[in-house]
Amino acid sequence: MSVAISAKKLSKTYKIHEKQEGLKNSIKDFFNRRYTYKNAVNNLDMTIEKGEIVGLLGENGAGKTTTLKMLTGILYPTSGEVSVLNYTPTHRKRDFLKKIAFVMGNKSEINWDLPAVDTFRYQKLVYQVPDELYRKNLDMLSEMLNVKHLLNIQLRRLSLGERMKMELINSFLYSPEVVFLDEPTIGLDLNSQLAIRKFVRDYREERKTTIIITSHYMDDIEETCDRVILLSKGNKIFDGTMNEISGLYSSNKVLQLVFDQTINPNEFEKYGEIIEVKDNSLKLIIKKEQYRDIVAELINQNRNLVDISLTNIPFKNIINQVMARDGDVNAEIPV
Amino acid sequence: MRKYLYSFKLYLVSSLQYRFDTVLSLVMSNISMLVTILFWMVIYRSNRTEVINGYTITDMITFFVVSSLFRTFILNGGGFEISGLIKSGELSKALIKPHSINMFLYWKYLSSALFEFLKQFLLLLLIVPFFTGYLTWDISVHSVILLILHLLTSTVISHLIWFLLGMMAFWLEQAQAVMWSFAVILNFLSGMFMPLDFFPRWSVRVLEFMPFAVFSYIPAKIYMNQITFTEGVSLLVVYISWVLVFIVLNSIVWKAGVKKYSAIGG
Repeated sequence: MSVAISAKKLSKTYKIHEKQEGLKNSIKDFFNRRYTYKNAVNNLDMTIEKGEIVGLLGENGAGKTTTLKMLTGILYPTSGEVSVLNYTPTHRKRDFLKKIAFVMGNKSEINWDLPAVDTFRYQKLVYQVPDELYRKNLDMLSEMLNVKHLLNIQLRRLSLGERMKMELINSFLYSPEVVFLDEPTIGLDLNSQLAIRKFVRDYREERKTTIIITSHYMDDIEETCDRVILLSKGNKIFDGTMNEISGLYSSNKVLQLVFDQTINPNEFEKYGEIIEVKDNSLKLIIKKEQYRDIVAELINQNRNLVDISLTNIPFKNIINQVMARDGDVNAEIPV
Repeated sequence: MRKYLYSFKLYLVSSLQYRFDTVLSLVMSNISMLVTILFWMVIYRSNRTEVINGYTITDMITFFVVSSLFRTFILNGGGFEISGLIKSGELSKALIKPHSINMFLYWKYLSSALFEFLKQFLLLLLIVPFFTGYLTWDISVHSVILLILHLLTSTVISHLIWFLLGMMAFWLEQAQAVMWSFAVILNFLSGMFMPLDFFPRWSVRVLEFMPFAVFSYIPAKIYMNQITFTEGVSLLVVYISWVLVFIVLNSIVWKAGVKKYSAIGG
C-alpha cells in the first residue's frame, strides 16, 4: 500500500485579538492591540495509507477541523510539512483539487432553488467528469443512498438527511481519491446516520478511496473506521487501529447491575468507575478478576438484585478513558 | 469554459423559479427611473424652455429610459457575493474547487443581468406605444453592434470593479458599507442622475475616459446617435484597456487576499 497523506511536525498557531470588556478598554484596545497565540495543532505527525478510513476524534477545539483545512489546502500551516497524494495542498493545483473532496456537514454547497441534479451537472463540468463516468457514478451513488427519486426535486423541499445525501453525491461524483468528511452526520436522525455510515463503508469497498472522518458521534467512527487518531488541545494523544482499541483495558469489564428499587450510586463507587446510572440500575467499570468478589459481596448484603451482566467496555467508553488519561493507554483505570 | 456557461444557464433557470419576485422587482427597479424623469420634466416645465444643454425633453427622457435599461448590465452581485463568502468563511468551499471563483461569479451574474434586461425590455415594449412622442427610436445596424460590444465591456468592467471592492472583506470587517457608498459615487459618475455632458466641458472628456462612463452613459449616447462610430470604437479601445488593468489588479489583490485568508482560516 502506498501513502495517501503524510504530515510531519504539522503545527498551526492562530493569532487572536484579545479585548477586555467595557468602553474604556475598547478605546485602549483601539490604540494598543493585545494578541494571544493559540496552538490549534501542535507538531502533528501522521501517515494515512491509500484506501484507509481514519477517524479524527477530539473535543470541540481539539484541532480536528484545523487539521482537515490544512490537509485540503484551505489553511497554511504555521510550520511542518504536509503532503496529500504527493501534492502540497496549499499550492492548490487544479490536478490536486480534482482528486480531493471536502464535505462539511454544516455547510451546504448545492443551490437551494434548484433540483440537486442541476448542481451535479455543474459539478461534472467543473471537475471535467466524462459523460459515461458521470452517469455511472450518479447511478451508483443515488442507488447506494436511495435517493434516486429525489434528484429532480428542488433542494429546499428535501429533508436535512436527504440534503446531506445529495451533498455526499455531489462530492463523490468525480471519484475523488481522498475524501474528508467533517461531521457528515451532524443533526441527522438515526436512520440517515445509519445510511450514511453504510454508504461510507460500501463506497470504500467498491472504490478503495481514502476517507478521513471527524464526528462527535462515536458510533459513526466505530462503525466506519479502520483506525482512529485522537486529538486533544492540538496534540495527537493516540493513534491506533480499531482492534488495538478494543484490546485496550481488556483486563477491565463493564458490570451492569439491575435492582428492583431505586439505588444510591455512591454506595458502589468503591467497586469501580461508574459510567451510567439510571433509577434502579447502574454500569461500572471493574477489574475482571474482582467480578466474583463484588457479586458475592452484593448478594451477601441482601440487595434485591434483578439482573447482573458482564460485558466488554464499549468503544465510546474506551475512547473516553483514553481521553481522560491524555492518551496514556498503559495507565490503569483506577478501580 | 463550458462550466461557466453552464453556471450561466443554471442561474437563468433559478431566477425563473419565483414569479412573484420577478414581477415585483420589475416594478420596484423602475421607480427610480420614473422619479428621475418626473424630476427633469418639472425642470423643463418650470424653466419654460425646450432645450437644456442641448437636450430636448425627448432626448432627456430617452436618455434616462435607455440608460436605465443599460444599467441592468452593471454586474455588482459578484462583488457582494465574494465579500459575503469571505466574511462568512464560505469561501473555503469555493477555494477547494478546481475553478476560478471570479469567472464563476461573472457568468452567474451575467445571466441574471440578461434576464433582468429582457424583463425590462419587454416592459418597455408594452409602454412605448403610449410615449412615442417622448422617445426616439432610430439606430443603424453597425451602431447596434457597437452598442452590444460596449454593453458587454460594461459587464466585464463593472464585475471586475465590484469584485475588487468585494475583496476588501479580506481586510475590512465592514466591506459592504464601503461598497454601498462607492455605489453612490459610481452611479453619479456613470450619469445616473444627469448626463455626463452636463458637467464642466473640461471634465467631460476625462469622465468619458473613466471606466464608469461605459456603464450606461456612453451606450445611451450611442443609442441616441450622439457619438460617431469612430469615436465609439476608440472609446471601446479605452474601456478594453481598463478591463486589462482591472484584470491585473484583481489577480494581485486576490493572491494577497487568499494568502491572508489562508493564514487565519475560514
